Amino acid sequence: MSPQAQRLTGTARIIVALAEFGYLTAHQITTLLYAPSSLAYVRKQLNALVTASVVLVLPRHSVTQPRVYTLSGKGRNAAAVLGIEPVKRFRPAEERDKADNLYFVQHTIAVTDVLIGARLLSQTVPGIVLHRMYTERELKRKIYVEYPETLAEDTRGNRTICLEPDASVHFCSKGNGITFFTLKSTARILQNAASSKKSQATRRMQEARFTENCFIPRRFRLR
Amino acid sequence: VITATDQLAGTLKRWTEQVLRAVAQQELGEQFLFGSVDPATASPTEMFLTPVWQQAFGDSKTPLLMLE
Repeated sequence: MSPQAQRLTGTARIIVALAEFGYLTAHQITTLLYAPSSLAYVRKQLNALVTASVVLVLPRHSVTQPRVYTLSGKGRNAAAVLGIEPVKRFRPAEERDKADNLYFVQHTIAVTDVLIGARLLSQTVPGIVLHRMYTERELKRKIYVEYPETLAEDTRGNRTICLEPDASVHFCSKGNGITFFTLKSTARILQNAASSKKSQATRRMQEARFTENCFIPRRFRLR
Repeated sequence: VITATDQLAGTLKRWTEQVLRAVAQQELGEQFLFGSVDPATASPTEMFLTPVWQQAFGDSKTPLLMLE
């Protein structure tokens, strides 16, 4: 076994977590898998995985921005061996392009925080089971809501806009039913609104909100 | 809708209500919940089980998950 493979064995949990969630920060991995005091350990493991080309670090816009990690092609193969098949193809150039979009990074971190909360809830509250968790990449073009573009106060035409969920979590409670949420960032909606013909003050307000990570948890409750 | 402040949550709630009225689907309001929980720092219990969410067209607060 090569030294790199030995490292892989010690960090299998991190690889599996990255395969499930797609993108994670060291802090998120710590929250998900370890005690808060283990942050330094997690960073050390991640550095080893990056050195072994199993994990990629998305380029940062500033030093204050947390590092976001994702699996490389090699890491995805390793995850498959561990029983987790990451969705979607992997193209390094696409990952770099995503990292160039600060909103994508902020948005992804925030969506993942919610998903981690859902996972931890099922692990800590008896009777609640996280039946299924879908990331944005798994939901691509599977679930969406259509609405006329005119509702976004956009005057370019009569096209229909499709809003796709950013994530979805399905809970079971004592086997009696499933409650599921689809999480949708409002960024796109606000972006459309900001580009419409509105007063400058209103537009500034909407653009300010666009910079936030907002979600619409859409709740469906089945009894 | 998760925002930094209750005020912003209220604004987004109002926008959602406007859209639902425009499409005459106010009954869907119960599916949209608004609050100012920070998912990075809130505990899972606080995020999902604490009544900190407000439904569209509603005034009272409710948890995301209601255990029966």
